[in-house]
Amino acid sequence: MSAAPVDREPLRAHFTALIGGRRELLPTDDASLVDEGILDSFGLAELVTLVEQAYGVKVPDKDLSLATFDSIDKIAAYVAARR
Amino acid sequence: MIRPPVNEPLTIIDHLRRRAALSPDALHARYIHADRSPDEQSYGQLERRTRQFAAALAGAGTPRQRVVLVILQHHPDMLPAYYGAMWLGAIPSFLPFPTGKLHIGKYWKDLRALVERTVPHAIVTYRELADELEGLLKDVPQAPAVLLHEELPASAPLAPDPAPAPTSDAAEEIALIQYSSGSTGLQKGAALSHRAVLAECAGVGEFFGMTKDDHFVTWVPLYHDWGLVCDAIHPLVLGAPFTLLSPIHWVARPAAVLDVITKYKATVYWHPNFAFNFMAKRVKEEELAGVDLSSLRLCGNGAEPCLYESHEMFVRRFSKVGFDRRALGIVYGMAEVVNSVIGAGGMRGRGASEPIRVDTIDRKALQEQHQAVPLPAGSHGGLPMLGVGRGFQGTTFKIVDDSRREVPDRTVGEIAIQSRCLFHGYYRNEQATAERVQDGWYFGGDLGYRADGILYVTGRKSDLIIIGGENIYPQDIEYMVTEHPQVVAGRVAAIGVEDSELGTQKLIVIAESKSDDPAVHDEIVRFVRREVTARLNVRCDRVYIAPHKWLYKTSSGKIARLPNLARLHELEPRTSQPAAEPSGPAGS
Repeated sequence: MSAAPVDREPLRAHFTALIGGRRELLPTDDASLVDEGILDSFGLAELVTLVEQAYGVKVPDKDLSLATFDSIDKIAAYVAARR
Repeated sequence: MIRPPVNEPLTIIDHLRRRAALSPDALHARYIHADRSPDEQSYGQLERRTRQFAAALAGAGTPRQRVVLVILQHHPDMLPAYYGAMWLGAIPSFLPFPTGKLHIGKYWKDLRALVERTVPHAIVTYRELADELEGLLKDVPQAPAVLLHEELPASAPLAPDPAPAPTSDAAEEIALIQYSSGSTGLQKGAALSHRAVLAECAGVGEFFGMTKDDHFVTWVPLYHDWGLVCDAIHPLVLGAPFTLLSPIHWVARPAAVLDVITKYKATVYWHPNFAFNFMAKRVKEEELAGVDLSSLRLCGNGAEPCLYESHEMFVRRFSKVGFDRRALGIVYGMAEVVNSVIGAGGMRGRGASEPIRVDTIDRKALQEQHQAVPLPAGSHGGLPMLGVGRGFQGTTFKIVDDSRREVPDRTVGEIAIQSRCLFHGYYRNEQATAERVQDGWYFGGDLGYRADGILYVTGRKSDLIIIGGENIYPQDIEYMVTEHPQVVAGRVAAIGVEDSELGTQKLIVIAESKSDDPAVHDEIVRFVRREVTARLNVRCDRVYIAPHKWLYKTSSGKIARLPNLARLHELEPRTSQPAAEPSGPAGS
């Protein structure tokens, strides 16, 4: 497992694009993206592709839920644990 | 009444018993799981488990023709619980389950409203919901009994054979209620007879030449009438198997359905229009290794406007793994006529006498004169329209003006349907029924035109938003946005904008603010995103804040969709991405 911190910038850029490019409206990294209306189930496949491509981790089908990816913190923790 | 022999099925339960008697070991349903091997259920197991649920409901005192709500997650008990109510002559209705604890407060509020209006006798659900449900129901008058499916053991007693219907015609009793989506304040439950449901299955089956040798696969949930009727009840009637993925599994890993089609050599796969785009875009190249779609003889589109480009994208992407474009099919209908009553395509099989027609028309004439003026294919300014086809046996349609008088071919008007699949009416809502049904015709509010006997759908009379096959009522959104103290009451517009890339609509919201403060505007934007997602489980693509009196309304006080979209650029924040173009077939 790599000790290097997970670069969250690709995630922030991804979610910023989803809310019209307005970075100032992006909630903090610990905020629930589902609660904030930024991530829904239709966005999962795209997010999983991003996570797999940007971080080189494989997401198995059993992890495919909104709960796994519900905040930038959670996604970063998931990536850190998988690589 | 003398009960007809089991080999002349008049009800859905007759069909279930017949299958269990004729082929108890044949596969009925396969439930795919992301984390373990599939659950498989034979017709014999289906009947046995159904009788167990029927006995449990009878034990709770559930009488004939009272509603039983079924709220279950992806599990082989879903259909036995549902048919168990039907076995008793009660009226089952599937409802969606809450999709995460974050939404649960809103979910319970809506469910409570539905319970108070529908007065169900029982709710069949799962343990995780039990405590919340108990709290919710404790002060509801005539509170329903709650049954947890986990507490019904495999050894539970079986109900006896169903009692005959007290009416002279069992097929005319209400078999089930199908709720449309949207908030429960606006939800209308379509009450459907056995006769209507079975006529729908017969019409679809005959048109597409379906038999027991077909194998259905879908991820469309069973609480959607399409998933329920076309992927579960219809296979039961045919004696064919079906394989079901959970929607969340599919949406996160769309290639999963390709693996299932390949593995089980599925022949029939239904999914809504956006899924053609979604799969073409989201399936990764490496996920196509080993995929073989050559078994598919019908890949059917429906539940939302069917777009030419969506089909083409799908064919371009998947023909190299055996997808045959002749398998493309279209169905059209709504819960009020069970589900599908008009269709085309599926030319790879035993039935299908009607190819999918493509009618290229003048986009401008459609939007401005509501006329479908034909142009040569590929013309500049041409809009290729996919014909949704002809009425199946027992269904006809016509196009009418605002006075419900028939209009000539190629004139856009409201689509009216006359069908043997017509519903009884909205459950406990005669007024809503009377608005939609007149002289045996159903007026559903869809707009379209007829050419050479083929129906083309161009949009909606009302501003109903359809995202990924789910109906969203703009009034629901407008009401919840108005709850923000800095939004001007009654000055909110929720609009569905066609997006040809997505193959469905995107939701945009425009809200007039009382304040000029950008910080307040940002707060409203975040509020709208949170509330809309929490309540309707759909994402706002863009939220625009407008000054007071910015929105155009018609003289009757309705939000004028196109004029507001046309001047949306006035509101765009400098850093925002442009929203989708307000064009496309529904631009009326």
